[in-house]
Amino acid sequence: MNKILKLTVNGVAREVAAPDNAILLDVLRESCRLTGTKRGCDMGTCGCCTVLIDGENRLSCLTLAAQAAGKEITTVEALGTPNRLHPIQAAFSEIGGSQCGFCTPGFIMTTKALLDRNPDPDDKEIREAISGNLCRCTGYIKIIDAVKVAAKELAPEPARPTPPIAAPARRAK
Amino acid sequence: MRGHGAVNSRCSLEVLIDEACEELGLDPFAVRLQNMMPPYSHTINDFRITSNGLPECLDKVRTASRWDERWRKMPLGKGLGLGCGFYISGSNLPIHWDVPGMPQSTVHLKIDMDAGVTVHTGAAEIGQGSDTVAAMVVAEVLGIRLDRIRVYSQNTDTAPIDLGSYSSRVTFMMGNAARKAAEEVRRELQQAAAAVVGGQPELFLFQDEMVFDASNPSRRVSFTDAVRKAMDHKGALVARGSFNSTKMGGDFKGATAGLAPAYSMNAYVAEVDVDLDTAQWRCTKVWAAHDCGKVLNRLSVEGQIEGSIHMGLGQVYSESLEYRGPNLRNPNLLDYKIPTSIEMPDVETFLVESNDAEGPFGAKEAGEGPLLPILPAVVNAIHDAVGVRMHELPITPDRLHDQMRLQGGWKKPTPLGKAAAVAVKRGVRRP
Amino acid sequence: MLLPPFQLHEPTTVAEAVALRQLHPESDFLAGGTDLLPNYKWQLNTRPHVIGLHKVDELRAISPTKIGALATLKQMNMDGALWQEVPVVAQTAGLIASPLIRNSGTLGGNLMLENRCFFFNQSYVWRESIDFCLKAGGTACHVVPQETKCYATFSADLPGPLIALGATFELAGPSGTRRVPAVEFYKNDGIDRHAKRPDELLTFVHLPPTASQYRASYQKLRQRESWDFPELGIAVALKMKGETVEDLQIVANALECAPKLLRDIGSGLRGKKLTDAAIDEAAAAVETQVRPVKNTNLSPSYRKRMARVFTKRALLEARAGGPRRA
Repeated sequence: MNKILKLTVNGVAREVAAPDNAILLDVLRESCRLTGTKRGCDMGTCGCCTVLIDGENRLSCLTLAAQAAGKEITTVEALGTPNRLHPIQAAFSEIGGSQCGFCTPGFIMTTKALLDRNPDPDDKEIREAISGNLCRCTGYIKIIDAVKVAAKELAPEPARPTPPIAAPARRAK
Repeated sequence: MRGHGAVNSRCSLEVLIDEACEELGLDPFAVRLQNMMPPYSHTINDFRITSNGLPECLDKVRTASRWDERWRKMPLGKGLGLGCGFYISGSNLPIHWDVPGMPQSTVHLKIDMDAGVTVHTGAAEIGQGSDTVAAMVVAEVLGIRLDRIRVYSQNTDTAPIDLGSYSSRVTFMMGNAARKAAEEVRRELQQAAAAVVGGQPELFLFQDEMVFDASNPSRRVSFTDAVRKAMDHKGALVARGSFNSTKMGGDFKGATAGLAPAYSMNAYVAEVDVDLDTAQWRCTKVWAAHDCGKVLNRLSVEGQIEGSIHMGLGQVYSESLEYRGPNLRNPNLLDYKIPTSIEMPDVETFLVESNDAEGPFGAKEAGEGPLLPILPAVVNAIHDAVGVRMHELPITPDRLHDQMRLQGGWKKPTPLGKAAAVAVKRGVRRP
Repeated sequence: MLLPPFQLHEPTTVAEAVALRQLHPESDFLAGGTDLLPNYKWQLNTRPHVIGLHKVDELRAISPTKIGALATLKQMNMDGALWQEVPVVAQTAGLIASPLIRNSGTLGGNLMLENRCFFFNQSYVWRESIDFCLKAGGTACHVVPQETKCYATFSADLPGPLIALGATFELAGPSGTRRVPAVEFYKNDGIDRHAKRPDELLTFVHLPPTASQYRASYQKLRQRESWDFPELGIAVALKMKGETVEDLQIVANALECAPKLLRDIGSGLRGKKLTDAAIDEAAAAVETQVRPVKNTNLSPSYRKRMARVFTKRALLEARAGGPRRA
């Protein structure tokens, strides 16, 4: 039986009808039509489904939608658009931190959570922070490089305004 | 997985060469250089070898890893190992040999009024960057910017026949097909340019979005104007290019297996650190030299090499399909253990450009070949570190620890000079 | 993978949660979800009711003497006071699974982690093909075929150091709360795993005030530095009096169906100096007392041998003062 859940996704308050056993990943992809978040292993071992819940990177495949109700959910759609990439996305694209791209949204969100709490991570901290996300293509090296470049881009400089974040990319019909 | 079939046999062979070198007291680098096929030669079983950048690959990793100072001389538990490999740039034998005459790769190219170029290919972009290769090849021939080009490669309704993304064939075969298609269009544009500004069509060159007469560069038109002229009263320019590899190989049974129009070559040195208490080990650094002919896109090639090292390292570190009767015991990503970002070593990449005579602009493959050498390089490095020779993969700590106990403990292998003296005493003739 | 249908209950207090459990005996408690939900997706011992604890905020607090069951592993790993007083607990929380799992996974979830086995942690279709196993719907054990006991391996990390430090677990049930010493909580059986009654909820872990006087260490063996469950874990807690050992607790973890406190080895060193020779002797004794079976990735004989190595490492680290925050 469906219940009405109140979710805040990418800054937009939504009401979603979902059964008790609904997984956040399914609600994001199916009900909210936010398919940027990927279903990989579905068992918490690949990190493709990473989203931010109250700023913390979490596995949406192992989170009930009900557990995320009332919290700020951020998906990759909130970061940038193809024509206006977020600095993290731009760095992954330019440095080669993405090949087939399936793990990329998860890595982007994990990077966002990392850089939000640690704007200048060293190599070891980056490797540790992304060690819950699996990539079969890149060998991680260019992902690590991209995180470093993104960190530099995002570093607060007095002369430059901080790049705009948020603004939902798509709305549910 | 990349390079299936070649990976295991290459690993065995490279480890056997290392064992032979040890027994004969020979330097693994010297043995490979002495026994290598020269460029543009034939092997005894009629493999046609074209470009071969292996000597330079060996040289690069030997220097960068400080091999001569460190191999056999590092403290117990730390070691270096060499592994080499080569790989087909596309299987010469098409997988549709029952359809005679069908090209291995076909590329369609279309230029319309806006001078935008669309490239249609059936070579699937799977993240390796083949769309980029298609666009770059066409851009190079026509002297135009990349943003003038759109590549359509995922739609079977519009894509011409292509055998697909396997056997590391796409850059070589699709790349050559794309080049031919672009060259066909170029001939039409040369005619058009000559018609506008005069001169001999075949002397017209394409660069920086301009078409100009090489004998008189002031005779020039823009690419866009050349396209418009060429389209007069005809409509869009449409061209096609295809690739078929030449007949090759001997006339004995099985002679066609493993043949390719060109082969990539590579040499890696891996450094490992073995925990002497637990037999847990880490690959800490890889020096990877890969000869892919002309490097069409440096970022893509580096990405392929780093990704290959990760995938190959998994096979030697922790990945295996464990069966219990008919059941796969580890059909999930928790129990099938792909190395994480923490296990991934630093990689220093060296791209060796042997510029193959038949590759598109001299390019060869960089998709699967770069995986091969990492496995034997690590196995040989573990031997250098602790004197234990592993003949089973993956080298899990329990297997390595068991093998150490069978051999009666860790022991640094005999240094090269001493091993050579022993070999001579045993009657081994040295070159 | 689809979750089986269930009715979700969302209590806001422990009392409500316990009452709901009584109302629906066929139910499971859900905290972080990183253990229960994968098992549910594989149709492992699913129940029609799930009591989600995500609104029970009273169970989130962390202090060096009392940690709520809903404290996440990440929070424990980041907690300055824990690092100050009982660093081994903070450190061990950071050694569990992956960063993403630790952001969701909780203390309670780790303490109640379902035991693991090749023949249990598989999809329904997979298990059906071997006629299931003792632990979920079958009649035979595939690890030790003659056995009627389940050999699923205890794979939680935190119980090791908590037992060594003398922690107690607080359980809330219909007739009030009670405390069980951590050392008595677990049973060496893959199915009947612990002393918590079905109608009880594990609410808090209490650490004795003396815990901060111990130098402790937890040494974990795993193949990868992320995700992997322990192939073995050795926890030690050491209290010195001058030059000699006043108290020493050694726990061998993740080798059998429950963590194993090796009392005699620890007490044998009381009043003695903790010399290198004494450490070697204790480590060798641990190796003889553990009995791993073949249901994890590395071979049982190797894990047994490594029990010695890891005991030695744990004792050396404890002797040197225990772990420090990186």
